[in-house]
Amino acid sequence: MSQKIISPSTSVNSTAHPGSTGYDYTIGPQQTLPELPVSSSTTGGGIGGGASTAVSTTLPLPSVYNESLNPNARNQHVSLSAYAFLFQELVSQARNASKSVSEIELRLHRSGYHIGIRLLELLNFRSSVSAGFGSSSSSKAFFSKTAMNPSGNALALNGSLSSTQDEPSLAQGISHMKRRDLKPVEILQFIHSTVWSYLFGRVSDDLVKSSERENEFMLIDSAPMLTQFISSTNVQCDFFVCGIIEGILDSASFPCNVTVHSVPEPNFEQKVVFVVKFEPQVLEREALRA
Amino acid sequence: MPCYFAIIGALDNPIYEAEFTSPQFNQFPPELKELNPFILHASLDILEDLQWQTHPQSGAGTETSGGFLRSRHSSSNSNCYLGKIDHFYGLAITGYLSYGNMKFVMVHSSNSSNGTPVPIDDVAVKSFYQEVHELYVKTLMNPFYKLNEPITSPVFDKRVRLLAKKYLAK
Repeated sequence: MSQKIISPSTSVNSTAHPGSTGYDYTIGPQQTLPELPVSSSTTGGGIGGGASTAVSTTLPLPSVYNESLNPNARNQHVSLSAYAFLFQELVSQARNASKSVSEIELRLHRSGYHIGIRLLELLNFRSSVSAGFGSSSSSKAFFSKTAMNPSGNALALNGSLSSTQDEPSLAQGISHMKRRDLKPVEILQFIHSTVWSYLFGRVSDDLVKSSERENEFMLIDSAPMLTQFISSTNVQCDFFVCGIIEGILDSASFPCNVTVHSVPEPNFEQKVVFVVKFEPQVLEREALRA
Repeated sequence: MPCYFAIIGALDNPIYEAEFTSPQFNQFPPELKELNPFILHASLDILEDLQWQTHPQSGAGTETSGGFLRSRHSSSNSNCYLGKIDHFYGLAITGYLSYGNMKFVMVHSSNSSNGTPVPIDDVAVKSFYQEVHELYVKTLMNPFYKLNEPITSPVFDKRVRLLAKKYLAK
């Protein structure tokens, strides 16, 4: 975050800022101005803000706020082969930029972390929406083995066209919000079931509590989908998934350390165990509530 | 009623702030306007206390006054919307927590300045928070947005103000 000087709000003349220019923390909260033009100069996204004033008001620029969070609004499945190519490039880029094996794994971990932060909010918010809201088709895995069919493309096009400002927001379909997960077991079950289903189309194979240490939990995946085309090397590419798990737990205020260990078995050559090790303050917080 | 709304990040930094006022309603008096961020931040302690309680609605029931800080009509099952969490002279403060523990907090002021407590319409305020939550999730979906950074998008600002007009203008 770039640091700018924060001026007291009394020094700002409100007439100097006609229209909405977005929140600026150096200025502070802006009042709702009565003569605020609703649609001019504010239709553009944050990046194209300068150009948007020239664009006519009838054509809103694409913006994240015009997209729907509804999982059925567009076809969001990625074919596994396309993904495998992307992941291969991700790994090789991390490999070229790194000097040691642990640095490669750290880079993969970091890429996953930002996905985890976003998945926590998105999946919880989506599961709050009542089942019948919007179009009703069951959501499938993000990385699906089936390639996109033409009808799916048509659906996606319809979805993007219909997601204008007039579309009811997803929040209107919420009767009550899903509870926030407050206990380590609850949030791990969320990862075990909801997150794994969203990413890989199935729940993870097991969720075990360590018998030796109080703060350790293990998520077991017998056949990790993302690294199934990567033959065993000394680099553990599943650190990408570690990053996703740690991002989810971190942003839900369960600071922890996630590592992955390969445990080959006769039937499952690629079986991996994700070890989640919570920081001591998580257990302290648990003890306070009990 | 004039409101001051802010999203507080995990580092206790404001992600977004806005004042919802219009000429029909009373504006915040200038001397109070400066105090709003302080009043709001003072209530964060209570919010963080409620954050980890299993039943935040009944949490204030331990007080002998039967939970005078709490409004009773908030829904019992969800722990995202926390209802009225604090009050400060005539002002009421409501809170909401997102799943990533972003704190959505709002200072409600009454139109009259006779010091009576502000009535909170829980259903409308809750709907407002949920809609803003959806906008926040959309912001987070932007790969160029980093967690805990100020939301500077004018579109976000406009959408939030439209929601305030829809749910909070009484």
